[in-house]
Amino acid sequence: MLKTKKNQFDSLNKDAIRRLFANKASVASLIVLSIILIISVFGPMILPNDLDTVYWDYIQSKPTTENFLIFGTDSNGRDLLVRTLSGGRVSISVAIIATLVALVVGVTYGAISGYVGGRTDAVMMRIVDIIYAMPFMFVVILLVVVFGRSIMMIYLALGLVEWLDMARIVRGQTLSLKTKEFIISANALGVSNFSIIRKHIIPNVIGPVVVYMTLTIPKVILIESFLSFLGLGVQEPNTSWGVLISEGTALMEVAPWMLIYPSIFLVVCILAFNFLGDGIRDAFDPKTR
Amino acid sequence: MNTYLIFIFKRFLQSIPTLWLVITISFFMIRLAPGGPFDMERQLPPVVEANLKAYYNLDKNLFIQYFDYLSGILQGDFGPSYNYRDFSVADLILDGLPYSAIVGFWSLLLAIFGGILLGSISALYRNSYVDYTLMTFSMLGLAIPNFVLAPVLILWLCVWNDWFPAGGWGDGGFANLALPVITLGTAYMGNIARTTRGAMIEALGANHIRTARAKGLPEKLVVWRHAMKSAMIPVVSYLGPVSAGIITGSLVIEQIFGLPGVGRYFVQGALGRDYTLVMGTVILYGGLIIIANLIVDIIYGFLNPRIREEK
Repeated sequence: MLKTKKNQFDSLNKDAIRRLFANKASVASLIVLSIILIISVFGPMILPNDLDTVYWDYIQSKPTTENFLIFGTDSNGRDLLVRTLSGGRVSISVAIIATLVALVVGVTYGAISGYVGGRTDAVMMRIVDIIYAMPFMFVVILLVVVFGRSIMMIYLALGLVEWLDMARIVRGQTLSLKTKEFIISANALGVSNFSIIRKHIIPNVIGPVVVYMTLTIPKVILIESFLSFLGLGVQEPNTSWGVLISEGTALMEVAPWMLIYPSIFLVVCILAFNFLGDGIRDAFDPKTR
Repeated sequence: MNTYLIFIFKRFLQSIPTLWLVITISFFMIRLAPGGPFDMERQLPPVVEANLKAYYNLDKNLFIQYFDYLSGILQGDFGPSYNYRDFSVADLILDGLPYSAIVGFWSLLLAIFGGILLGSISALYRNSYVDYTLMTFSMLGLAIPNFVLAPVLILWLCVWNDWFPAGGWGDGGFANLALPVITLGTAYMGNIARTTRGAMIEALGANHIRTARAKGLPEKLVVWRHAMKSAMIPVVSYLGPVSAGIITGSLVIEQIFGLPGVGRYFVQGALGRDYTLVMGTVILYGGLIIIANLIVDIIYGFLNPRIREEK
């Protein structure tokens, strides 16, 4: 009996994965994202120049093949290719970590709220409503200004912003799961609430959560770049796409390549995540297509 | 109608504690930050600093300052700015507000009407080339953040081709406003277009539309009156985040285009520990976002009777 249940669940996910790989836009996005991820992680290790190597003869140089400066250099004579790639490392890692923070907090909160129900649920959701109505960007900016402009702060601040939607989605799913027979029988058999949430609720809400996660990552990349653009994000000598774009904007009339290359990376990455998110959503829920 | 009024009133009352919470959190956060408004390159003599602090009441207990500040706000007094000497926070904000409001208003209008129009056209010509082209553009608009779009447009239209002024307010005419409004509105236009398309496709397949068609109503009336009304529900629920996004986006847009709006005061104020100026901008922006959400909820309740019955 239990076995068939498990098989059904597996085949449901397998169907979703099969539909995902049948979608050309999602496959292309996956490939593009893998390429960006791989060159961002390994590029700075392999390329001959370092993040902070200064070429005194090549200050604000156009893209050139000399010294492997194929993206040109910035106003300090540093290799823009390496800086763009390691900026990608920072931007993507911020996105992934902040999304994981949002995932853990949101799923736990939503599952507890939905499963326990009653007055606890009302209070917990009321808290979410109140926080939701707050002008979040401003609180994040204040947090970053007040507690120092470090990467850790950005991870935390962005994670704290994004968990609310996740909590709402998981709560909604949990409410409908709660009335299903297998949960009721687990309860009747004396399984503790904690185990029911961990073993039965959470595995069954994974679909919508994965969809929402893929759409959260590009959102977080955008917010991080926005903060960095305002000068509130990652600090020198580290860099991120937002920082590079901000530097490029200041010098775009004389050194347009400083604006264009990081912008292309950022936009392509966000486009790919959005297409992939759409693809995953369609795969898990073919009706919405 | 009576229950609807009660719903609006309740919703209005709920937004007051939210605003209070925002004020309280930001007040204590900015106060707990290291540094103060009078930190400069050259250390002030201790006596002068003490006098300055006494003059601005910064030497009192933090909680007393907090209650003083709250009672000041209730009387419409937002205090003096610490970094812009001789200006009150209210003066600074009122000076900048018209500029920010004009840009924000047109961007919101562009996002809403442009988005609904494009989305509806896409839905009507579903899976045709028109649809694919429009949706590709919407996706692009959504993926290109305003702080990338703005410099790229300036580079293209102002630097390489001398078609628009590169920044500044000028006479506030079309030429000066076009680029800020477009860069601020495009992303949300794309988002609204995508939402509208989905909602419209669903609405066009609904039973009441089939009934309307079966009764022989002209297609125009079916689409633009009957389908539109139910298609607007998800779009309206998305307008809260849109307004919030346009309001925060204006921080960057005003910086890039050198517009004399309120946006610059927030970041500058926070970095310079200009306590009252930060609080003033937080209250302004927070209040605007809360009001926008309130309006959205009211329209939502109007379009969707089930919502107002529940609450």
